[in-house]
Amino acid sequence: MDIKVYSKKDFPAYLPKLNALYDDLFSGGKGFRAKLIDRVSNHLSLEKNTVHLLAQTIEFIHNASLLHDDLIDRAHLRRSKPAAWLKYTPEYAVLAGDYLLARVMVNLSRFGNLQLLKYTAEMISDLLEGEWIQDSLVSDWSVELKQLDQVHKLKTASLFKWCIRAPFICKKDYPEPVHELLEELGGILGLLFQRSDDLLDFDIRNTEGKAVLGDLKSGYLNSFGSFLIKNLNDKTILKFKRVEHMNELLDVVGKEYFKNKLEEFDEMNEQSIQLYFHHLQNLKPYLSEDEQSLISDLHKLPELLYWRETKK
Amino acid sequence: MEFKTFDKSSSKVLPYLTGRFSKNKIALPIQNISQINASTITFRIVSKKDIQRPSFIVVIMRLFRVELLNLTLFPLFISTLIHYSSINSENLLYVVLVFLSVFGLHCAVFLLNDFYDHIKGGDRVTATSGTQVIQNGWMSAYQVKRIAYTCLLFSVICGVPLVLQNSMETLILGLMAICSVVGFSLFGKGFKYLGVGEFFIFLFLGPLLTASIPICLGLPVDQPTLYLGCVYGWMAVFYQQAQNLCHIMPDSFLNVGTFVSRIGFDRSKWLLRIHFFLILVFVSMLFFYWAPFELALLGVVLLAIVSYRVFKNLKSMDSPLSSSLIKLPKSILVQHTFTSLFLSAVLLVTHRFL
Repeated sequence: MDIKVYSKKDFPAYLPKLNALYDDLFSGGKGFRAKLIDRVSNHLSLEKNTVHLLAQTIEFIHNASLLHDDLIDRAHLRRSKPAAWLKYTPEYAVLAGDYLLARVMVNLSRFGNLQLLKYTAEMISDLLEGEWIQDSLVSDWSVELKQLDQVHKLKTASLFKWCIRAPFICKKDYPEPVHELLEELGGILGLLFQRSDDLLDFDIRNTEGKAVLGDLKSGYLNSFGSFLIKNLNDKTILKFKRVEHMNELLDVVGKEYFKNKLEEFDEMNEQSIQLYFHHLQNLKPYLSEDEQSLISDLHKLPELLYWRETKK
Repeated sequence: MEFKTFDKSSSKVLPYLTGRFSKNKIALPIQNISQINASTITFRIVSKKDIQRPSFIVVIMRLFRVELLNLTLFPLFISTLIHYSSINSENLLYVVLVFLSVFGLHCAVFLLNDFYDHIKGGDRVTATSGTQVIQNGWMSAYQVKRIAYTCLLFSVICGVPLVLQNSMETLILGLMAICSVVGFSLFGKGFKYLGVGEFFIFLFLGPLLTASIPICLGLPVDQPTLYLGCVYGWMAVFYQQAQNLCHIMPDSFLNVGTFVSRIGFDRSKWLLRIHFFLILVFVSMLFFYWAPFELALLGVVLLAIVSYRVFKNLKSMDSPLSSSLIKLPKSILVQHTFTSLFLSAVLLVTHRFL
């Protein structure tokens, strides 16, 4: 199912430039989170309108965070187009992000599921906390992976947890252990996704041709970056900070060192994937016969999210 | 890779947590990704022979928090130097017993802290808490608990001759120390969780510690010893609050009410800055009290150099996860060590004993 999460009818036409801004924003995205909602909801046989609402909610929240992120980071491009704050104004970018979050609250209130509303509000709160703290870590070249993980748990992981759990909240009253398992599963997926995204910055499994070393050049040490430089001396770290290209980076840290660290990083994440499979098995007994197919579908996600389907 | 998940209320959990479920395997609790108060706990089951353990000495040093011995033993050492002229072959043994007893208490408090944090799950919320000895599978929680109570017993045994020699004062001091050690992190309702941990740290790593030497020598506790104790107690509180600030996020998630988590990040930053300034002033006064003027001036200059890193970290810690904050406690320890080494050197060189 192809979900179109945004339509001009969702927003008032009397607000100047708002729809143009959203047109730009929503047209380039992959809509991965909406697809994840669809994937989970399919197995739970949720109504089409409910699936659309959930998909729209998560994409609105995600894109609101992108609007704010780009302004905070002063990023010039978003999805190969000028960032909203540059093309329009910083004020419009902030307000457009706030407006998406407000629409989410309006839509969920009308839907009437109080548990979903509460969970969504908590997720948005976590997301903003993660944003707040992440901003304070820019140019911190000594930040370690365990510190970054705390940020990613609040940011990326909270969105993925919502994608996995929200359809269950809409379906019926599942017992508390189910929700805890779903939280763990979503949390692991979120961390894997973030780490894979961070690897793209170092041109690892970069099948989508994402710009390389963008985080580094912005002064932000991502999860793989901090893992890579942890045991390097100050002189090497200084050179590392100044690299412009991947070849230069490999010269600075050494190709063999880079390769070994990548293997270590992958092994660490493979352990998380095994834990994910363990939790998935624990979820099985709680699902009805109709819902069991969800397990095999969710089983494919780590390969998709972390290995980007490159693992043989 | 083998994992096991249990309901926390299940009777099967404790043997896995304490490490007594198997002779050949160890259960490493998985850090909780998402839910602080989850009703289940997941373990990764690993064969003991697959654990990459450092040497036994390294494990013991890690367990005993050797890097923090300066907080406990240095104040004792300086107090001993101050009262050196009163030490003779008859009472030297009591001084040694004080050192051994305090060493035992030092080890007991950290080991018990590690053990109860592990059992209650505090160390599963963040990957940075504790010594990581239990989390890495280097020792089981059961072994750590046994060593903890052995250390406590050792401390009590060393304290007995002191009590017999000095009776009431030493007995009261000893009992207070043991109660505070056990109460500091006992069962999640210890003093540190009630926001009053700092008071006990100040007292027991400060004036009561330095006063224990004159007490065991049968001497009255004089003002310079008390002043020295207050400065050391303050430095210990400075260190502890820096540590608590590093853990402000997980403490807030767990509703752990340390003083720092109660007043918040911004106010705690200012509190630490005030501590830093006042400690510089009071330590400088200590130097001028004990050392000749020129030597004291040199000490103050060296103290300023050593304290620069503390200042730099205090200035640039912008968030609870910033690396400046993570480095702050270590830089405070360096400052503490320098203070003690300088004072020791001054006392040994100038023989300005009481």
